[in-house]
Amino acid sequence: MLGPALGVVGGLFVGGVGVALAQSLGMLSPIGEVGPSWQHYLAILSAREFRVSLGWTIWLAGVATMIAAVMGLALALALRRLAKRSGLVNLVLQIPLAIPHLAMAVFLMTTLGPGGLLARLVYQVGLIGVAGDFPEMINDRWGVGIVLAYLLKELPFVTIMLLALLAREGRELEEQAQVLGASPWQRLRYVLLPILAPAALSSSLMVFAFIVGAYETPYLLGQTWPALLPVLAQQRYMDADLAQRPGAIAMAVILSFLTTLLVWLYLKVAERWSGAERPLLF
Amino acid sequence: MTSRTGGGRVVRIVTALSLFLILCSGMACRNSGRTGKSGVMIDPQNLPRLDWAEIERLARGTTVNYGMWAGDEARNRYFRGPVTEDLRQRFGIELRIIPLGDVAETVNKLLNEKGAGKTNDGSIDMIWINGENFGTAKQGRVLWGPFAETLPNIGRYAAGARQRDFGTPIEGYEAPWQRAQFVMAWDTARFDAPPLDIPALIAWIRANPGRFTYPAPPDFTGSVFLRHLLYHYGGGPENFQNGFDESVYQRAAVPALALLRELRPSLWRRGETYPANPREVDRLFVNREIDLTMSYGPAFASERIARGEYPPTVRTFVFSTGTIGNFNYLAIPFNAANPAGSLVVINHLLSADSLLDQSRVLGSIFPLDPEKLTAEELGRVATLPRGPATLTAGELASHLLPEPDVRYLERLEKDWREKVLQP
Repeated sequence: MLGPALGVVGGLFVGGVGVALAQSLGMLSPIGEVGPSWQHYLAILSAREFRVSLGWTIWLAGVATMIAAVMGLALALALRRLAKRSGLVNLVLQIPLAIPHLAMAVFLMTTLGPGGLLARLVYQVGLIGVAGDFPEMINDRWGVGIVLAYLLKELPFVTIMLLALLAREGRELEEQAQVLGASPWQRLRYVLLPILAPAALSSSLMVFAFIVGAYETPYLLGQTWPALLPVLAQQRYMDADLAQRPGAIAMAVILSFLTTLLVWLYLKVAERWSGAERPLLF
Repeated sequence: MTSRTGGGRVVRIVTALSLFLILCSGMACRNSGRTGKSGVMIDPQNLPRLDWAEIERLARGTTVNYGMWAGDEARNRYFRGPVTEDLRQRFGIELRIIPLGDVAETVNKLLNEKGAGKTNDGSIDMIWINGENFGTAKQGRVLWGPFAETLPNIGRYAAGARQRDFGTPIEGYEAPWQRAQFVMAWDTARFDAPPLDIPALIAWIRANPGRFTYPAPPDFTGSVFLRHLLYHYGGGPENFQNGFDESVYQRAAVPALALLRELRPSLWRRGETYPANPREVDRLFVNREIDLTMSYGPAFASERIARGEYPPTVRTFVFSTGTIGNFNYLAIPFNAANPAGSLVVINHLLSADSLLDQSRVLGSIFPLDPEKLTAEELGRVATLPRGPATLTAGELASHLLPEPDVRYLERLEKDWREKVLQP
């Protein structure tokens, strides 16, 4: 019964990765280059643009993920009683989930951009003199716009995952601990956090892997230099010069490899730190 | 228990979907087999021997899928409406517009289809293309042809437009269609006189810090802006026409890129970031963040005034030393399902009557060689309406510079990323 489903997933995923590997080695070339050779990998790894971009990508994805995880944890703990009483909490949290990343990016551009709603508002009120004085948050040097867009999308996601878990398993155990005389701190440290840790880990892993590979948000909200890696790879893939394509695909392959590696490392560390069972994802 | 039944349902749905997809693709194959049998496929080698009336007969009753850049609403309306209706009545051809974001994506798709062995029954019958994308498509051999020189209407284009596209030999793989020319725009309500040549522009940028920017290459508008600087330092366009010469490139590119780097602190956002495309430049211009904007379409400012996006006081200008212009072309993908239909549609779009109508509705430059027009046609060209911000055809033509060889362009874009963009 699972055959067709596995066939589709296996064919598309494994086949896709296989073709990507072959193309990054200069095989299956539309201009008759014959591989395999490592030259495209070597060329990319020696280019400063790629290295800066790679570091910037991992840094921004890491920052966004960390903030989403920590704030999600805090939010879920703070809202757990309220969410039980009223479905409104879940409803409000679900609204951002239904908004595509693209729409979120455009929303931020039109509200927080230098000519956006907020800038016009503070200009009208007289807080700033010229429109250009509004703090740069879109296409800015520090990636504020990108992180903000991802937070608006991923924070509710993490919170919902954790709230669901607390609703299912948290209450009874917490009450039992209370009956047995545990202090609020002890309940948090020995009951709630161990329940939440695996889900917090797996959801932040999903968030991290997603951000590292996503294109539209950094394309719209990012700076031209340094560009996030998906933007750089796409740009190179679309280059009119066909000789650039294997390099573009090599970037994507390196990115996939590093993501897998980072996720594995993260899991190892997290396992030791929390002593929890393995997160749901792996 | 609930989760197990849920899982079972998912598997059933996936199975049903897969079966549905397999059945659909089988049906599509059979269906397309019929289209093939109706005799629309033509071997380009036989084209010179075929009678044009015969091609029109073959094309009657077919559908042509036209992959068109869909970023311009007026253009979309015009092609979906009057042009489609015209083709239906004259030739019995159904034109279907396939909206595209970027022709480069289509060329990439064709390359992938070629790699995957999809050599017939492609989803697109004709595309709008030029420059680097044509070079890529020709290099990857994803175009059908040669066909252009067999079109009855091609003879009224100037010979230059039929020979080379950004230095790439055309060899009949695309037919010249419309013309574009770089113009800049400013708002007369903000200041009176725009900078009319490159030194004046440089001085203007220095005197008005933060009020100028350009789209980051490889965006084609940002890229053509760079080429004006290349010509400025390289002694004019003549030196860039005959293939790529490293010493010619170095002599022009080194000072041009050094200037752009030096100008960075005077640009919008201190040159730390650039707009990704001309639409973003437009947004900045409208928001009064910058004071100059630019386009490859000489009528762009008039169109935006008409749509209410620009104030009516915006005007366009060209440099006294000229601005770069080029032709854009129509081509047929190698795996087009209906090349006969494409040939008829392309030939029609290249006719003087259709081109006059296109210029009237879209404000595009009339592209045919004036020396090859009749007195009556010249009269009609002279009476074409012109938007308030658009320069006259004569002003544009007398300031027209040719594109350089495509290799100068690619190299300049690459060096810009390394020498100007990176800190």
